[in-house]
Amino acid sequence: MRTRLLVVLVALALAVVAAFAVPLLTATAEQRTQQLVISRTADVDRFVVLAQQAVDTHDPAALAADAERYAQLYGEGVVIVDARRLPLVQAGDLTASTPAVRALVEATMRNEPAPRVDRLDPWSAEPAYFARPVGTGTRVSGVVVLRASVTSAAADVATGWGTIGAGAVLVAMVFVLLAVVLARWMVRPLHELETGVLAVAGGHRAHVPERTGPRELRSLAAEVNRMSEAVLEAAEQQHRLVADASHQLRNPMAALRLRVDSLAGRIDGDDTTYRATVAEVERLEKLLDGLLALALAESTATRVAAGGADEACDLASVLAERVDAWRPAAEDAGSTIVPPPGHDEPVIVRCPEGELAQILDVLLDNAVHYAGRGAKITTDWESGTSAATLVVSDNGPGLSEQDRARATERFWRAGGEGAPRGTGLGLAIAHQQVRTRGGVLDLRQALPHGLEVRVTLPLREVPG
Amino acid sequence: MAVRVLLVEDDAGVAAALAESLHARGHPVTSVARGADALHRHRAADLVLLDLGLPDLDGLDVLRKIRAVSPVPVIVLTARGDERSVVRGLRLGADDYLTKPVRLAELLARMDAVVRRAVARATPAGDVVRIEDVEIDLGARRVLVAGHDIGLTTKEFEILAVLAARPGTAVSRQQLMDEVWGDAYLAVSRSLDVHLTGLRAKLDRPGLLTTIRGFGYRLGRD
Repeated sequence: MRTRLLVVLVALALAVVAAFAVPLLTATAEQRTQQLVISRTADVDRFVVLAQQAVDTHDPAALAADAERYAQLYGEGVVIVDARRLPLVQAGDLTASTPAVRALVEATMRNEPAPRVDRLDPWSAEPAYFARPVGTGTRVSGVVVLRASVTSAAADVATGWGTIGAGAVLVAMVFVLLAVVLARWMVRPLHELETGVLAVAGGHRAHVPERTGPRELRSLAAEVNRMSEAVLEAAEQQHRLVADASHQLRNPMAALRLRVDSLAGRIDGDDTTYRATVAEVERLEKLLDGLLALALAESTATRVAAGGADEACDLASVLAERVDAWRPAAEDAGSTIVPPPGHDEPVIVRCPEGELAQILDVLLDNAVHYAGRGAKITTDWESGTSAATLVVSDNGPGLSEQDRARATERFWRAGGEGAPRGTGLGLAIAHQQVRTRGGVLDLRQALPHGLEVRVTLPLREVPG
Repeated sequence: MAVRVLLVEDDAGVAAALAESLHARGHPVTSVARGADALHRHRAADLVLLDLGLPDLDGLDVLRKIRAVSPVPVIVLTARGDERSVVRGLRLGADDYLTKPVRLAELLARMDAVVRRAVARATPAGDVVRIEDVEIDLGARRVLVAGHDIGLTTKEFEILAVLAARPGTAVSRQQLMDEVWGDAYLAVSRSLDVHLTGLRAKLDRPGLLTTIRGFGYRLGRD
C-alpha cells in the first residue's frame, strides 16, 4: 500500500512541477528573443535614418564610419545598399554579395516584411538577419541589412533555463520528500495496527502507539489497545476461574480421599462398589490436576509472550531422570522403556526443568498405558543448530491419522468417550506447554506400527 | 508407635477427616485452625502437619517461626502444588511436602519416614549405607549393586556419598555442589546433571534416586 501511495503522490508532484516549469521555460526564451529583436530593430532604424541622410547628401562617409564603429563594437555585420543595389557600406565581415543578404535585399526592395526571428533556445547558433528599406512610402532608396549574433542571447537563455531547471528539481525533491513523509505518516500506524491485531490473535497484549498518524487511525489504535486488554482480561479471568475452582476443590477432594481411604479397613477388600468409588475419586483428582495444569500452562503462555522467564534446562538429563522414574511403572504395565543414549555435553533448551518433566510425564504415561503389554518404548533426542528434538516412540497399536490430529484437543481420549482411564487433558497440556516455550509437539506414525511423539524445543543460545 | 500429631488446618472437612483417620491408626491428634495456635502448641507434638492457607498467618511464616525454636518434624500438607511453594517449604525447613489431595497410605508412610529420620538424626550414619540391594561403602569408596561393583567415577561416587549420608532426606543442589565441588556456578550445575544421569544409568535401580524439582535430590524411594 505504501508503494502505491508513494507512486501516486510522487507522480502527482512531478506533474505539477512540470506544468509550472515548461511554460516558464518558453516564456523566458521568448522574452529574451523579444529583447534581442527590439534592440536590433532600434539599431536598424538608426541606420535607416543615417542612410537616408547619406542618400540625400550623396556622402556616405559619415555613415560608413558609423557602421564601422558599430561593427567593431558589437562584432556584428552591417550592409547598406542604395536603390540600384550597390553597396554604400559594408561593415564587419558581411558583404552584399552573400546570398542570404542578396535575398533579403531583394525582398525588402519589394517591401516584403522582414522574416521573423525564431524563438531562441540555449542551442541557437544561426545569426539573425534584420532588414529595413530606406526611404519613405513607395520610394525605396536603399536597404539596411544587419546580421545579429545570437550567442550572448542564447547564453542568457541557457542561464535562465538552468535556474528554472534547478528550481524545479529542488521543488520536486521537496515534494517527493513530503510524499514520503506523508505516506509514512499514514501507513506506519496501519502497520502498527496490523502488528497489534496479530498480537491479539496470538493471545498477546497489543501495544499500538496512540499518538502517531491521522486522527482516525489514532482513535482506532486506542480501540485496538482497549480490545486487546479486554480479550486478555477475559482469557485471564477464564484461566483464573479454572485455577481457583480446581484449587478450591482440593480441600473437599482431600477430605473425600481420606474418608474413602479410611473406609478401606472396614470394608471387605473385594467390594466392587468401594473399588469403583476409589477409581472415581482418583479420576476426579486427575481431572482437577489436569485442569489446574492446563490453566497454569495457558497463563504461562501470556507471561512468556510478555517477555518473561528465560529459564532453561538440560534436556538430556531431564529425559534420563524421567525415564528412570517411569521404568517401574512400565514394568508393572508389562512394557519396557529403553533409556536414552548417554551424553557428556548438556543440551540446554529454553524450557524450565519442571515443565519439561511434566511434558515428558505425559508422553511416558501415555506410552506406558496405551502401547500395551510387551510394548517397547524408545526415548531419544537429537540436537540441531537452533533446536533440540525429543523423541518418545512406542511399537504399540498407534493412532489413526484422524486421531493423531485430534489427540492434542482437550478432553479427547483414545477409545472415545467413556474410555477406561485418563482425563483427556495430558496431551492438551503438553501441547500448550511446548507451544508456550516456542516449540512444536508433533505426533507421527512410528514404523512399522506405534506412535512417535516428537517435541522440538529451541536451544538456548550459548552466551558469548 | 503412636505419634502425637499437631494438625494445623483451617478447612473443617479436611481437619475432621484427617483427625479421624489418624486416630483410627492410633495417633493422637490435636487439631488447630490458626497459625498462632500452632506456635503455642507445637512443643507438645511429635509431628506437625501444616496447611499453608491459614486465616491469620501464612503457613510458611508459621513454619519459619517453628523452625527458629524447634527441630520438631514438620510435613507441609497443602493445596498449593506449584514448584515454587514446594521449594520454599523445603528450604524453610519442612521435612516433607505433600499436595492435597493425598492418599492416606502415602501420608502415613511419609509420617513414619519423617519421624524415623528425626529419631535417627542423633545417631550418625555408619560407614556402609544399605538401600534395597544397593550397598554404599563410604570408607572403601565402593558401591555394590546386587553384589557387583558398578565402577562409579570419582565425581559420581562423591555425589552418591553426599546423598547416602542422609538417606531418605532431600538434599538441595546447592548443598550437593558445595560438598562435591566446593563451588556452585552454572557450569558446575550443568556438570552435576550429566554426572547424575551417569549415576542413574550405572545404579540401574529406577526410582531410587528421586529428583525434587527445583530443589534437589533424595536417595531412597518415597
